[in-house]
Order: sequence, then C-alpha cells, then structure tokens
Amino acid sequence: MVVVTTTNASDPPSIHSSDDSDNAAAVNTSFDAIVNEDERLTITPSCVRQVHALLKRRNKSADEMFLRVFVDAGGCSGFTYQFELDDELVDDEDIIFEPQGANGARVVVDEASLNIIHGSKIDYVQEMIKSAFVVADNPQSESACGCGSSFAVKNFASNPALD
Amino acid sequence: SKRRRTLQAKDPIIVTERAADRIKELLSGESAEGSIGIILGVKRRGCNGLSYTLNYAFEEPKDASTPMTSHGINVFIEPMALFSVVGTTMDYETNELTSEFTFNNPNSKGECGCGESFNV
Repeated sequence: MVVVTTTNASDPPSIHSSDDSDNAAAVNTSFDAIVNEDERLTITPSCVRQVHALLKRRNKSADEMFLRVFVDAGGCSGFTYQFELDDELVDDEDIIFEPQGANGARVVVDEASLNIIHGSKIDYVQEMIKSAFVVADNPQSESACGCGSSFAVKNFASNPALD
Repeated sequence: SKRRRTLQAKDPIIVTERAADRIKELLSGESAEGSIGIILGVKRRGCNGLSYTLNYAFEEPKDASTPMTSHGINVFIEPMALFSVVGTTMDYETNELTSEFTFNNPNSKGECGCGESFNV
C-alpha cells in the first residue's frame, strides 16, 4: 500500500471562517480543498468532515476506519461509484489519501479504481433532496447519468482500465 | 376557507411520514426561513429523461396546481410536473452514508440505476 502525503507540512492549513462558526463539529477540519502531491485526487473539507462525523457515530477513531471509494460495474452508463466505511486495507492494491490538516481522516482507493477516477474530486454534497458522497469532475468520465452516480469511461474499449 | 382543498380532490402524491418529518426538519432550518412549504418539480435531466427537483416555497406559487397538505406540510407541485408525478409516493430513506428523498412512481416506465432519473 502507498501512503500519499499531501502538501508541505510547513504550510499552515488555511482557515475557513464560515466553517469555524460550526461548533457542532468536534474535530477541527478547517482547511481548503487539497490536491494531493501527485494530483490524483482532491478531497474536499466537506468530505473530511463527514468522514469524521461517521467515525464518531461508530465510535471509531480515524486510524481504525476510513472511507473507501471504488468503482463498480453497473448503472445506466456502465460504471458506478461506490462508497463505504471500511477497516481493512489490502496490501499492494490500496492507495491511502490522507489530506494535510484532516486530523487523520483517510480516503482509500484501490489502484484499479484509481485508474478510472484519478483527477476527480471526492466530495460530500448536501442538498435538500439528497446528501451523499460523490466523485465529481472525473476527467475519465465520458458521459454521466443525471445523478452522477453512473458513468461511462472514455475510450474504454481501446484502453480498458480494468483487466 | 377558500383555499382549502375539497374533500373529493385526491392528493396528487403521497408523502410518507418519514418524508414529512424530514421536510419539517428542513423547513425549520435557516435557509428555509420564511418558507411556507415545498415545491416539487421535474426537470429534463438524466439518462431517463426526467429527474425530480425540490425547493422551498416562499410564497404560494400562482401557477401551481391545487396545493395539497400532508402531515401538516404544504406541498406545491409545478404544473408542468403534475402529469409526471401524479400517483408518486415520496419517501425519505437514510443509510449510513446517504440520506435522500425517494420517489416511487407507478407510472414510471424506466428508471436510472440511482432512481433519480425516470420517464413516464
């Protein structure tokens, strides 16, 4: 497994003044969206906050569990994004994203899935109609379903990302 | 009063108690301040043609269909949407990672994998 560290530790995390008013968040996760060094994934502050909220609800610490993001076959457009809380890392497959300033919150993606979603943004979107984790702005996605949960991959036939 | 719907009129959609509870929660939130209910609509989007939209109603829409009241909540339906949503059951489902309103539409002929897009 590979741990992807993000940005220089000397860079102080910037403060979101609007987020600071939210005292409900027990864990301080005020920082700007972070692009990891290799720019393979962006994890948003909203995503990090929700991971912490879920961990708290499960009574787990950030080093016990993480958010796993993976790509599955299915949906109208061929692939779907899946999310789950997981506690088992798979050697040689999993890549761990642990954004600087995220208080240990981790997003884990297996290598095959990362091949399909690299360059995307992992976000937690709260709307009136729905609140959910999303993979947004996937550069590999050719066409997406209206909800964005299913998508097709560019040039998939000539360049399959999964074997 | 004049606005009260007649007893004969059947509500165009069914709102479950869970959905109503969530709507009440939303309506008591800051961004809903001053709102009098919700507006359900559809827009052309998604793989199956239509997807549902949900907004706060800050005043009674002039062109809205007969307003309905369910569990004490005013639900307005966009006139253009009425044909598409009539008979639908609106529910609110949550699991650990996702919470969302769901729409069970008996007239739906096709649905997207996520259930958010449909056609009638």
